[in-house]
Amino acid sequence: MSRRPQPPQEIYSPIPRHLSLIPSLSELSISSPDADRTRVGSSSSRRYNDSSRGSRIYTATPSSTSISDISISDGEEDSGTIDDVKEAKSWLDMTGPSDKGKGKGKEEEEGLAGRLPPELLVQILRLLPDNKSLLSALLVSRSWCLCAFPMIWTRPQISSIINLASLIRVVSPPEGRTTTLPYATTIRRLHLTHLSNTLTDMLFLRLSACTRLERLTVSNCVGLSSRAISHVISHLHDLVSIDLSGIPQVDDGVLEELARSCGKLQAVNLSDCRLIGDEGVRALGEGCRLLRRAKFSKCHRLTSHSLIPFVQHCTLLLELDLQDVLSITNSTVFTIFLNLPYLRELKLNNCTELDEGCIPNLIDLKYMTDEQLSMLAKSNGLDQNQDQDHTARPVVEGEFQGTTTALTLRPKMNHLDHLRVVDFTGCSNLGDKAIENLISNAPKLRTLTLTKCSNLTNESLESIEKLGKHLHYLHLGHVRLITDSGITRLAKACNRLRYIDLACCDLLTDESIMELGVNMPKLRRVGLVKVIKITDESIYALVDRYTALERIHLSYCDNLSIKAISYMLNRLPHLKHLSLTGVSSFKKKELQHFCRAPPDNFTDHQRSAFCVFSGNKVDELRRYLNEVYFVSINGGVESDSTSTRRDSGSSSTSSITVPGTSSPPFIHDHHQHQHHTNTSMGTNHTQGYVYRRGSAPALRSSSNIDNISAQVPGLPSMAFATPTPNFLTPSVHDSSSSRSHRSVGHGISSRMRENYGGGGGLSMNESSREASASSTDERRSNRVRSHRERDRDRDRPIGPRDRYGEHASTSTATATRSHQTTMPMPGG
Amino acid sequence: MSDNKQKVILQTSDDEQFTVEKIVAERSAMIKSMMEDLGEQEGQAIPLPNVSSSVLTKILEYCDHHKNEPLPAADSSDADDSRRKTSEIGEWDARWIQVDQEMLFEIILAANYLDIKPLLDVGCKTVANMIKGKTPEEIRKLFNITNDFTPEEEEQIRKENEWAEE
Repeated sequence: MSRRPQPPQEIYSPIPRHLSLIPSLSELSISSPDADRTRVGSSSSRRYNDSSRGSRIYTATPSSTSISDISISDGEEDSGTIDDVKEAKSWLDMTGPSDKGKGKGKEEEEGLAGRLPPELLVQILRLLPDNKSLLSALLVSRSWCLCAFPMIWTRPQISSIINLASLIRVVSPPEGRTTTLPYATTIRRLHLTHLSNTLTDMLFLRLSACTRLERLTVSNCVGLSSRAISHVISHLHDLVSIDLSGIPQVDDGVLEELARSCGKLQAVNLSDCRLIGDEGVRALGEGCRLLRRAKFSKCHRLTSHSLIPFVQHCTLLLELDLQDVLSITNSTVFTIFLNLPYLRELKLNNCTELDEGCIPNLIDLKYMTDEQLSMLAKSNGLDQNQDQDHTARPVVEGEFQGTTTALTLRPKMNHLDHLRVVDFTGCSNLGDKAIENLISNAPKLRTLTLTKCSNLTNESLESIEKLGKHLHYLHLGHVRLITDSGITRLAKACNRLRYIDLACCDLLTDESIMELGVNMPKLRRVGLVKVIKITDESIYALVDRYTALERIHLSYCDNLSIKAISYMLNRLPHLKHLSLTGVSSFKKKELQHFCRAPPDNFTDHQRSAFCVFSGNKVDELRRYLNEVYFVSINGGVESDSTSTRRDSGSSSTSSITVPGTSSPPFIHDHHQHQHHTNTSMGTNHTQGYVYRRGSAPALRSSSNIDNISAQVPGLPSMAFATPTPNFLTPSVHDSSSSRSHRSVGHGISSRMRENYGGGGGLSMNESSREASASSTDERRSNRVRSHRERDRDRDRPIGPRDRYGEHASTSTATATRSHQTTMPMPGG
Repeated sequence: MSDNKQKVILQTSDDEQFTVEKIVAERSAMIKSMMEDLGEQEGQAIPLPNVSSSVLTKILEYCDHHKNEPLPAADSSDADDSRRKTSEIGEWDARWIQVDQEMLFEIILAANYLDIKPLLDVGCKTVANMIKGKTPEEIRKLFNITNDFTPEEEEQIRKENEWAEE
């Protein structure tokens, strides 16, 4: 409901207070209606309202967070106040003195409810769940009406074009007629995008009556003409935000009108308004200097001629979207970095003209002489192009009269401390130097998209590394030149990554992926499409330690086996998306059955290759693999080590089981397993009957886990049904314990590691494991092991999955013991 | 901790004095800031001319029950929002606020005056729940409010706002 306050968008707040001289929306609209309160609240209730107390309810709306509330999608509440105090009051006074007297007399009889100060009544009415209750309140009495009507009208919820028509009939009544209340000027926000197909000039033009409108969203309303938009805008002097995206008729005339009439404008979305050109944008920059957000995506006619002066004028910008403004050159980006200290988000997708020098190093610039600055600017296009020079310079000089160009080239700050999001997708000429400067200028970048910046190399990764924990999202798809050594370093430095995409980085091998698996506890999504060298080892490494992954893209990684994927599925309870298009092992009818339908526009060939599992289908696939697929192919004895791993993997992810459905050794072992769980969770239960998965601290929500168990009934029992040895049925194959010789004597540590990592699996061929991960494994296990044990283990290279093998073998030996620390070493 | 054991004297409109723990009294942001402003003078009663003893007794019950909860940040719109997000009233609060209407509104007014945000919220939610789903006439009756519209006015306002029913 519109009148509910929403949290202000904090993310945009870090702008110094002194800037709050800019009148923000809420400051403009919220007036504490003192006059009204005294009128309505009259004698007895007034005593509760010494003005400082009473007005706080109003100021609680975020009037002080002036900067934080400027977003196209709004944040704050500005309803519930009576703005047109005078008008409304005069209406209240219409009843004349006799009535007033009567009113006062009544108050003594009336309950306190009738005398509630308006700000309290407003607060109560805000809590009403629906318009229907609010409409009832509206008609209770005059004072209630005054409190209720702004809630209905400030941000009217318009459901259909007919609905809009009836609203417009009220706000712009025929000549000579007036409305009971100042409805038209109460409207602050209008969101009409959902009427885009039906909204026409005829209705829209009448909205010019809403002269106090602050936010207007008419994106994709293709029926509106430039003339109509200009006309309405010319009445909206309080406009703070306007969204005209996707209206093809919007032209420079509209922008000029915005510049003329809407000096308070702070956000403008002109995405896909392809008619607009340099003239309009230049006017906009001059007229609307308070702009914080400007989106020009796909406005392909724009060039540096307008964008440079625009940026120089609108220095408060915090979001600038220049996606697909294809003719942007270095000079524009250079200017952006010089002039926008509050910039938070910058999108420059597909600006292929940009190269090495588009980003200056602000700190270097600081120490340059004027001459050097000019030289640098020149070399980056600020002077290069004659045309550009002519257009850029007059504005510069007009702005900073009497100063040299060099001075305007001097950056106003050392860092763009607020810059969080940068998108350079498809800027294929961008070089490593540009990234180095970018990172140096913006040390707190959170999201960096460099997809298809195909010139970048490991050098860029070394720069990105410096972002450390600040970096959460990194897209490196098609940055083909990067190699394992780059990713290895990056993974160690930026271990807070949530998302990494390495699609088509085909030089990468398992080594990179292992580093990701080992270093990134928060990783939720990973894109490895066409990282063709990776093998099953990557899959095991990726899920070995942390199990928070939710989306994995593995299409065209053709070396992957069903077993590895199955193991992975069982390790990742939160997995919601898995793409395996073009992975031959999955080109099986029975598996494709769980696959999502291919998009309609795919060719037959594409359709046949398409293999994406999402949502519930992931769970179904997991269940199928566990319960049917492997059961059927494992009819005989399968000694393949990988399969044992798969089995134990499945058991470890969902150790829940249905008691009684399995063989005695299974139950026995199940208890054992559960015992570990408890110790890992720090409880002292020994053999409880909580049949729940025993896994890592990484699994946060036990309810989720319960869910999984509910969705996959009997899963483990089926997994165990295979005669293959695993740590749950070790008695089947005594040889299994002897196989993993290293485990002997290290039951405790290995088990603890198992607990920590949540893994479970029998040992396989040791050969390939010890790889690079061993040192980090040591580190990890140290966290849970006692020093004594650590010392003992220290020199042993232990691969990630070997540990589980150890565990598997030793857990049997210690099955009856109640607490790990009291356990003697079985073999040592 | 000894700080919390300190006592504060509150004096109501009907000249009764209440000696309460500081931590309890501080649920009221108004009293808290008053104490900060005035400094702590032993034995000095804080006058609350807008609150009667019966209402204060009731409110102190609430403050005592919630005394160990974190105070909402002063002037923080965040706190304001999180408060509104949960439309539910806590179990204890719901039982505690089962009072007659006169007392309910007295509590709301006093909570506003004393600036006890969570309490004000409980009160407002309670009233909102009473209003919910009722016709205008039912609301008037419930709260004993006089209809001061002229019939024409009432009809016109109803028509003007009709669109919002959809």
